[in-house]
Amino acid sequence: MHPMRVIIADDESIIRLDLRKTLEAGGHTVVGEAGDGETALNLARTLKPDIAILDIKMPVMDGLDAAKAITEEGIAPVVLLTAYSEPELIARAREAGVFGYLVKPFQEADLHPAMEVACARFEQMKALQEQVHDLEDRLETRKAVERAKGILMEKHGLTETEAFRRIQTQSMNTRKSMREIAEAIILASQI
Amino acid sequence: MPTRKTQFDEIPPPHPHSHSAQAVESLRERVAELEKRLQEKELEADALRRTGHAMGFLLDLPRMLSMVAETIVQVTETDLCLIYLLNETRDELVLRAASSPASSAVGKVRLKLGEGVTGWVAKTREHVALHSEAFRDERFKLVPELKQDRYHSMLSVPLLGRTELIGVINVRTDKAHEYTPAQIELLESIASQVAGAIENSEQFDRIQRRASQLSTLSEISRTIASSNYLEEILQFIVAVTAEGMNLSICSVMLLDEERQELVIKATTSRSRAYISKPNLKLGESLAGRAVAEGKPVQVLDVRRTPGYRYPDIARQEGLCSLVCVPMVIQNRTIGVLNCYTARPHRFTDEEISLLSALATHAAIAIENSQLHIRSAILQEMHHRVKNNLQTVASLLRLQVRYGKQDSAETALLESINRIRSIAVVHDMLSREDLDTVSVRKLADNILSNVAATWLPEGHRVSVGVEGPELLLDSHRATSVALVLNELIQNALEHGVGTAGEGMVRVVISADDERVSICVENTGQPLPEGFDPQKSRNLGLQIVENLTRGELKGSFVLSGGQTTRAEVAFALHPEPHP
Repeated sequence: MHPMRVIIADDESIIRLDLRKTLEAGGHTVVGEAGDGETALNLARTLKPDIAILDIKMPVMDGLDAAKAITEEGIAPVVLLTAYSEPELIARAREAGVFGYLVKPFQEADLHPAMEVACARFEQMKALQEQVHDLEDRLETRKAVERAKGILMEKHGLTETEAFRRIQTQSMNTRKSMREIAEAIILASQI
Repeated sequence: MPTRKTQFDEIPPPHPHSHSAQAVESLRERVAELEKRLQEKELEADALRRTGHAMGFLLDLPRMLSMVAETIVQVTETDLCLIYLLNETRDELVLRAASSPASSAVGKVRLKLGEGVTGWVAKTREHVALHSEAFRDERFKLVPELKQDRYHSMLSVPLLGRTELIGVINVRTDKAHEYTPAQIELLESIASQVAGAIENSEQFDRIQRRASQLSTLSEISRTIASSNYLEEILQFIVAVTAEGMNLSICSVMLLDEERQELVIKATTSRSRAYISKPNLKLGESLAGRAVAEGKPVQVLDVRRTPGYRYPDIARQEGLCSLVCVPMVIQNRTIGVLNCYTARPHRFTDEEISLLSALATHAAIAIENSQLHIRSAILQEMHHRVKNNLQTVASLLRLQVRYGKQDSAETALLESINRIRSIAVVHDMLSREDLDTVSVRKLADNILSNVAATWLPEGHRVSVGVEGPELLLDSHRATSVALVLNELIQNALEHGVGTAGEGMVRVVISADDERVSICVENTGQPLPEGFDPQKSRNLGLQIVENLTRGELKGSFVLSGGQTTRAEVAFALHPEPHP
């Protein structure tokens, strides 16, 4: 297992101390400690850890809210640590996009696999997000080029292949993406 | 309830000196007249009793109204009864109940104010009696949903609440029918009862809504610390009852099962004498009797009732009649609703059944809130237990990591003492039945525990605790317990050491702002340049972490002739922003 930079948050310092020592014994580095959710979120924003381990019941801002923000901002995967095992909370944790859930009293043997799984799934999610982003971009390009082709064909009496060529050549000559060229053609036609 | 003027007063008495046949005839006529009126009265009484019975179901408004509609058809000997109520925006009448066969139209018929005869009654708040060919009346409007507008007679009376119109009640017959003043009066008096019941049931709804609002809003910690919101519900119930029933005092007493006493929990009275009157034993006074027997007890004048406990207060507060209605839920009596009037008043069966329903509602509210509190406590306990288990697991794991050089026995003894110091807090919490713990008692307990573990038999070490009884919340008390355990253990183990003589004492001091807890010991001084923060000693790590973390305070270790380990923190924890 590769060493990770970890943020831990629990309002009980004994549990925090234990977590820190357990993580250090596993070869990880605890880069930040917090006793409440808000501090944990701020630490996550500034320290950009590899993973955050948060207790649910904490003052000021609870672990679930902090987890939600950390996940939504795409900072790091979150593993929740909690004395609760109610279905309702697990459902809320899932909604918050939490990647792992450990019920207290946790065992050292459970901690590392939970972290590993959370990291792997976080990477997976990031990769998927990038893929989605890429596909969205390609779809937009396709749509713009189709419209631009139509405009060129109508205005200059070109065939579809000729119209496509024109956009492609322009893209190569100006070192701009085909989407940008296509959007420029659409814009120009609207003036 | 105001008594209606009877019609007997209006009949002129016979002439005192008339002995003629004519006079006999007139007497006979008068008897016949009286008999007829008596019959009507009986009918009316029967109708009121029956509607009163239907009102017993007032927890469920639609069901009550449909029973009332059927009853009205029977007692007025008509063919159909329709009950319309105003909607929430008060601009439309909606058919809310109808006797069969029109009951399928309930909820479907809507009339604007002023629309049709019914709308006219609602607008003018006056009754309309049409004896025949009702459809020829200029106000008449055909309502297709009712499918049977081929009726002849119609009597329509307004449903008037205490301050405003609630709706309209109609009866109809298929053939022509003459409505007598007595029949009109009967329907009007039924209408006034129904109006009262509807208003009451709306109040119940409000109470219920409020109760559920309160229970959802209540926070677990607050619920455990106090049961304020139950009192709020009860206060609301007595206020509503007193207002609705025109009482001079209404109060709720709840049964303390352990002591078998009735305790005042809510009252509309502002009198100190009334509020602070002593608790009642079960069976004692009228309220006690009502609870013991499980049925309502009423008297016309408490000031002249031998069994009544507080005649002086009654005289002082101008209390006269009293009815005590037991609050029953699932065959258990949990308290009593006491209703006093300022003037002599005999509570009718209807009033008592209304009060019983109210009492049941209050009982349900109480039961709900108690269940809620109980489940909240259970959940909180569950959470605390698990969190403490985690703390214990963490302490043990830390011991394994830190105590590699210690013997297994030492490691175990240290761990046991840590767990015991947490247990001491819980033991004290459960015994004191409060959420606070005395630091002095805590220190006493831990000191004797640790001394028993670490001091050899026949030692000459003096140990003691000095300072005030300082109360701390359970959360911080647990931290203080663990801190004390470590500091005392260090003082005994490293300070007094194996010499078996010397002094260890815990000094507690506090002013309005800060608390200081100091463990002092003679004997072996601290090593030169000892820095607790750099120490690899688990005990000191625990002290450091708890002091900075949970207690948000400072830890200072100073040497010299006596070694002093002082933990200081703010008396009142900073509120979270």
